[in-house]
Amino acid sequence: MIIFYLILGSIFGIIAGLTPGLHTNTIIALIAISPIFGKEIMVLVLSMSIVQTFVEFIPSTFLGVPSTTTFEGVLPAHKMLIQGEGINAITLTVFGGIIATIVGVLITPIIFLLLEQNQREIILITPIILLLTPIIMIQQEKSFRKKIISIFIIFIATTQGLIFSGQIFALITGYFGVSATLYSLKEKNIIKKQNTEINIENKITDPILGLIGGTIVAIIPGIGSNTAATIIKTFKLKIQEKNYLTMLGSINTANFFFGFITLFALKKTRNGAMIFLQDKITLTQETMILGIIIMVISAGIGGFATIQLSKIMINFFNENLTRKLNIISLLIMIFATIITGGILGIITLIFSTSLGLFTISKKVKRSLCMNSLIIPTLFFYLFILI
Amino acid sequence: MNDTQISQICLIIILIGFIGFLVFYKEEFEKITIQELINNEKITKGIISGKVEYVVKNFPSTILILNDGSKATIYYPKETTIQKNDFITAYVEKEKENNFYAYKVIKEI
Repeated sequence: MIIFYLILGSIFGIIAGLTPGLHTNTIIALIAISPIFGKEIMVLVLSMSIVQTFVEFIPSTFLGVPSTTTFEGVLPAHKMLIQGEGINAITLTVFGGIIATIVGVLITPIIFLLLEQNQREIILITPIILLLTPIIMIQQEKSFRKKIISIFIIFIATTQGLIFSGQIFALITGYFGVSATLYSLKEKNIIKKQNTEINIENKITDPILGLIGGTIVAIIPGIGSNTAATIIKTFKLKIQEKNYLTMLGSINTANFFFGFITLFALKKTRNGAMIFLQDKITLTQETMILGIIIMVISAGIGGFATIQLSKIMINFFNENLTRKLNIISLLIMIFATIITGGILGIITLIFSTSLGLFTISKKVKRSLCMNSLIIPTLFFYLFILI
Repeated sequence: MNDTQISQICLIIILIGFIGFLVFYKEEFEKITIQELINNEKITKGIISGKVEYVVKNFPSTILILNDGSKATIYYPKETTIQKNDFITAYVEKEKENNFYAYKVIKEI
């Protein structure tokens, strides 16, 4: 039965990854209705989540349409696609994810002990990281004008986050999904014939940096994969596009990997899939070992499937098809927003899309919009600590 | 490194994962009766189902007496809404004699 759920989860992960706007959390919401319990549901959720972290870079690269966790990678990946290096871009993210898994397994005992023995310190350090994050984001903008625009975006995003606090899906979809899709529909790029000879020259340091980022994302609420990438960029100034993609692939996978470890070490977690698992599994050592093994197998499946699928898709790829797929993905995102948030969800989506389009037009970092989660979370932590 | 080599690494990872699964995986909880769990010294964990005979407390943790033909005291470290005569399934570990620690308690509908 374990193998059956592993295969089923991998198939769901591939579908969720290839469909822009469809997140594993949406599928998990449907699974929640089923009576499956224990290790079967854990295998299903873990394999689906890990496989999706690999596959979701395919639509991000080919369509220029991001998911909530890949939006910062869209620009470099889509840029590489225009230059004829689309498969190369996807392979780089796979490389990052695979290294994150291998190193992640090796350092799991250390991370587990660090988390378990420093629970109080984590609560104390969280608001400091949350406070520093928007400051780092503003500081990273090069001109004074862009710094002022960044402050304005942080203010608007925070306001939206506080007003639409129950509409996280609509907020994130508007900031990064709908706005990027509308923008890519407007843009007309001449895309070169794709190079099918792949050769990546990446250092192992980038995925390891990504691993640190993924650990931060797994522990600190309000921080997303892309925000973590922004923080890392501050400490490592010269990150090339290719290295950035490797790092983002690594952060994405490490986030889920250590989200699972955090659940066992702290008995709580911030990752949506893991919150769901919390009430469905027994938090014993045997369950954790099985979970790690499943994530390792799923990373292999996800990486292999992503490379093979990108090679297949490259044959069907053209500007016309991209445009059609963009429209379909736009409709899926709007439909998913209606399902998850109703009328208020659509109102939220209009506001968040407007802010997303504003950040694109002003050429500032779109991760600034994540302050709609970061600042309200900071307020929450200050409230419980004071 | 090219895509074929990365694909090969992925396949090796899948293989290592499956070897790890065969070596480390063991069925942790299996359906068992209270009597079997008390009597068999080699078995320490199991899934037991039965009727709640008495609820000592529900908050902040839960202590109850479960009856499946034999009786056992179950301690669950979380609050619940379980009441007398409810049917439950519990994932338990033996502590001493007929005292069990529950990792998970599910109320049957």
